[in-house]
Amino acid sequence: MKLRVVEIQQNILRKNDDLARALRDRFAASHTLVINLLSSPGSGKTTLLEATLRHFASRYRVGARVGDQATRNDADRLERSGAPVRQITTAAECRLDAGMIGKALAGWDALPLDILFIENVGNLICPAEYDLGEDVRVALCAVTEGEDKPLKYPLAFNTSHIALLTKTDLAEAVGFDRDAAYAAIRSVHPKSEILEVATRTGAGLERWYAALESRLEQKRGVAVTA
Amino acid sequence: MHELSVALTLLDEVGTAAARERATGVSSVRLRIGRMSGIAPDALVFAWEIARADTIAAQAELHIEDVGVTVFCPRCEGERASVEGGGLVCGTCGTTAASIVHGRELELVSMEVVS
Repeated sequence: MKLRVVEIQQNILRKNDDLARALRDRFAASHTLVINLLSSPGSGKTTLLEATLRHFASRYRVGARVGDQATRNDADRLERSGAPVRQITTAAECRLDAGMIGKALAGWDALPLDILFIENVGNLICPAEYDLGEDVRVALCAVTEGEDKPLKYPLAFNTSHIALLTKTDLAEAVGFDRDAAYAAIRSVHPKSEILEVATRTGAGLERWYAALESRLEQKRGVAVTA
Repeated sequence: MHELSVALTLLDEVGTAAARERATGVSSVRLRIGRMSGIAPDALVFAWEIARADTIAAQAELHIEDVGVTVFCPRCEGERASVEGGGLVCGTCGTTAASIVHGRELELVSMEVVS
């Protein structure tokens, strides 16, 4: 019997990264803009997505895959928007991974889409580590959650392109400190785009839609010139 | 929170490497886990000890190097430790320095195999 040390030096999540790269190539070929929504449970991902799908459905081919540990309640809610929506039930898993997305897209008749929204499992820790091949990662934080959320979950906000403060219609009622929230976001991601929405009243939604649309144009522009 | 799925993924990678090395067993596995990786080392060890049963790594101990968070500080012009819970801020001068140098590691460094 002989013992020896084998040097390996590789990322444990290498397989996920490989699968995510393949998804990204595939979305590039179909010119699909992919948005990955991350937040704690209850930050308003589904409500925002319902409004967003409704807004874009008349002009673009939009669809969503939503991850939850159990139930297909979110998919049922989102289907009311008229856009194609499918639930991914993750059971024991606390996040989506690239393999789940690949499987979920296989044989989906809604493809190809202009915009694919992926609503991740409500969790700010685990999903941050898993690349899903998305173009835009959005971290949502409701004003009711506390201004220091980005400091508690720095990776989620550091790896997101957009920090979206939600439920701003409740800001006054809960004594939300806007400056502190912006400072917290900036301290983990100085260049983060920060947007505010109150989906129920519609405040801020136009800017959110414009942010998505400009990225869609950018993606199509790149696709055309490539 | 996803330590069990990371343990299973790790086990796959270890199995692949062991087969490549034509090993008959794995006695230890060395990892580097960053403080910002979302993985709690204790929970990973717990999950590993369950997951490794009946595999080529059934006896393999995990050795985890804990990697603290460091950032590249634009003002100090160098790598500096960041303050835990204080954002990605240089621990020396307090400048916000959100480019992470270390702390995200989830690395399989090496393993000791039996052959």
